[in-house]
Amino acid sequence: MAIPLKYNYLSLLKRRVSTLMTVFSIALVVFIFVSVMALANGLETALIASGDPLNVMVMRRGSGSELSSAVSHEALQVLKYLPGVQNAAGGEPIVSPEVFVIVNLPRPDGALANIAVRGTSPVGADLRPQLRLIEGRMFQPGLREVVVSRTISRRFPGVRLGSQVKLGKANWNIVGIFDAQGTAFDSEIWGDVNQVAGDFSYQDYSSVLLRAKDAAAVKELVSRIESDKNNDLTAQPESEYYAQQTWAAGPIKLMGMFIAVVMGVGACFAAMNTMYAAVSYRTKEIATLQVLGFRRRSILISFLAESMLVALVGGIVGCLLSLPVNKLTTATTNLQTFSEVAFAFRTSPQLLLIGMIFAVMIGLFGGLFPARQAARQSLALALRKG
Amino acid sequence: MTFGRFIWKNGTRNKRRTILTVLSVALTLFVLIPLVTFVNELDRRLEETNSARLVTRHAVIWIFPIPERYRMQIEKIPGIVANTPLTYYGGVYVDRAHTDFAQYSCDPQTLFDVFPELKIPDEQRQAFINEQTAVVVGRSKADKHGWKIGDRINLKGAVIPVDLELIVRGIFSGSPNEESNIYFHHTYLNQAVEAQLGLPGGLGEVSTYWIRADSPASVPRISQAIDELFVNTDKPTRTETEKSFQMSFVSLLGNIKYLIATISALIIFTILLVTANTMAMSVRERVREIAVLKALGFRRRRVLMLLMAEGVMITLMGGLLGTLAAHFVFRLIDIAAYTQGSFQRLDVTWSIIALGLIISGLVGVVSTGVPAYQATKLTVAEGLRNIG
Repeated sequence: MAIPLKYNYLSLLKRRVSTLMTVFSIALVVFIFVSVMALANGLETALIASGDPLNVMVMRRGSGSELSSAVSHEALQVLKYLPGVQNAAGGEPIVSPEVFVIVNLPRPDGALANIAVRGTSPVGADLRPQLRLIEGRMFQPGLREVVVSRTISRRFPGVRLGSQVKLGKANWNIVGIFDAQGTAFDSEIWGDVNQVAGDFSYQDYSSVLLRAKDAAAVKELVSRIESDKNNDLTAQPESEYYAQQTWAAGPIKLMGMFIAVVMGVGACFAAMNTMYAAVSYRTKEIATLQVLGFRRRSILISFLAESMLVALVGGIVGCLLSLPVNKLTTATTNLQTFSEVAFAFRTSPQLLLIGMIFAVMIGLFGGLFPARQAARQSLALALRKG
Repeated sequence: MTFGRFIWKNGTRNKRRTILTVLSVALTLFVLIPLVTFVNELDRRLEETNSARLVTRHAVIWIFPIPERYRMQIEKIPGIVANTPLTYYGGVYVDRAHTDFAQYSCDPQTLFDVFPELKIPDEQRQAFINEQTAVVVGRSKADKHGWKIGDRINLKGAVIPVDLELIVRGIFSGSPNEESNIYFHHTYLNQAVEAQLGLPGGLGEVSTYWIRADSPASVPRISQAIDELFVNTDKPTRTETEKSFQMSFVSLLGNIKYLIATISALIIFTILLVTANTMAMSVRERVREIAVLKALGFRRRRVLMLLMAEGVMITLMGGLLGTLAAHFVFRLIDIAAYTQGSFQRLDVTWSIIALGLIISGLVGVVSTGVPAYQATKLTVAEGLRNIG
């Protein structure tokens, strides 16, 4: 017969302070783990979710990012009419030549941040449906007009709808604010491709974005461009290009795992200490339970349940603590383009689940040995004691 | 029985509990130490800079190159002792899975004048100057990869898409960060670019100019003079001290210091909870003994000290174990290979070990202090009556 859980619950209440401390130490371990992983998660989503798999990105061979790439105007004419490129309703191929430059913007603390400016076209905007205008209007070709992301307009004072921002040598009018839903474009300023190229004296485009008809056409386009030795160009799905830039999230994840595992073992030891103490305080109680006819197995399970209950509460508290961290924005640098990436912590349900599993493991391993000791306790010895 | 022995006996009375507490403190310190070390490495990089050295780069960002012809104009400015262009080549070492060193093209004539702290035998320096495909490598990387004078190093271009075949002609020594670099002729890089990419004359551009001034006092004047030369060109420059140049790399990582400080504080707080809990348990079990000690004539303050010394002993043992383990374990990790050469080491220095011990000692004081204070506050009679 199982010992009722109420017994454990009341025992825990009796040692209130000790229970609370154990709960909080487990909660903190879970909190640190979930937060660090949420950081890595956010950085990863900011980059991975940026590309559409049907968009094919063409750059110069050997250039790791748009920043060091160059695609000539002649090459664009060839790319436009490759088979497999989708045509718009009017018959024009859906192709967006783009220029990618970096400018300095002053942060509130006076330091200069590197911000990416993308010269693009209305077609380029259509190719990224993640991007939605939330205020104002789109920039007009041929004018010094830009739209900026909401993230940038919040991070940099003076970058607001209706004001001007100095990009390169000239001032540009901010005519719209967009939201790119957490993707890499949330860290960019967009203007007209020819205007940007002119102002920054770019003779070539940085990259060309093509819309493929379907998944098969993506493969065909990529292999056709890759095999053309004359052009010295390389092509890849846009999603792959951004996926390559996520390697910076790797070390952060590694750090999160390292902290979580080592601290988790430490928390396990702490739980073990508490449980051993609990067992030794309750020597007589355990003996009484045995006299009442409870099996050793029931006693083992009861103590294990107690330890897991503590850990479970710890896990829940840890997860609750980590919820406000969600959506907190921060920025780091995309080490491929050296421009700032703003991103938000993302505590996904899976992450919270892993945190909970983690807490339960701490409870399980922390409780196992003390519970075994309780179950193996000699009845005669315990009753003779004190 | 001496006090030391008394503390030791008490501390190790419940062996299992003491071992578990020591281990949990040790594990916490083992996590904390690499975080502190990482921040320390960031700072050390700045400390190792020379205050009479300047770096000229593109005004917006150093990955935009600046023209080779700027050099002649720069060198007309008085107060410049030596100047070398450094261009980041960013290639892949063909013989290894990870490239753990940075590669730069330079002017071999002036490289060692700009970096006088790099030591190299004179005949090697001359051999480096004389041969166009020569390369000089840092001592630690030469040891690691087994490079000897006359060996070939093949690099595959990534940032600059040309491949290079270099011959080791010199091995220099310097700080660990400096020894992780290799330098070759800028003219050879230009030649490779001309041959492999068909650009007549090669790159025509460099990443940066590294300049040594005659004294730190002339640094502001020189930096202003250089930037004024190019302010109205297509490619304006920014000239700053080596330190502020390095600082811009650190700031790239964002609020990393803040993040690490927050995590560290949480970790310390966690261990505080854990040890306070354990110490509270062991003090609670000894309320009667404390009363006996007081009955024997020990002052309350003395008893408090004895209990706190016991707690500090336990956390210090854990701290020592954790920091020493960190010291020996993290030097085995080849961090350079995983960070593409941007971090050379996680060197747990003696001062970091000392810091770790101070933290663990303080954790001991704080965590034992509260329960010990409460226990010693009881009168002898109350304590003796206690049956806990």
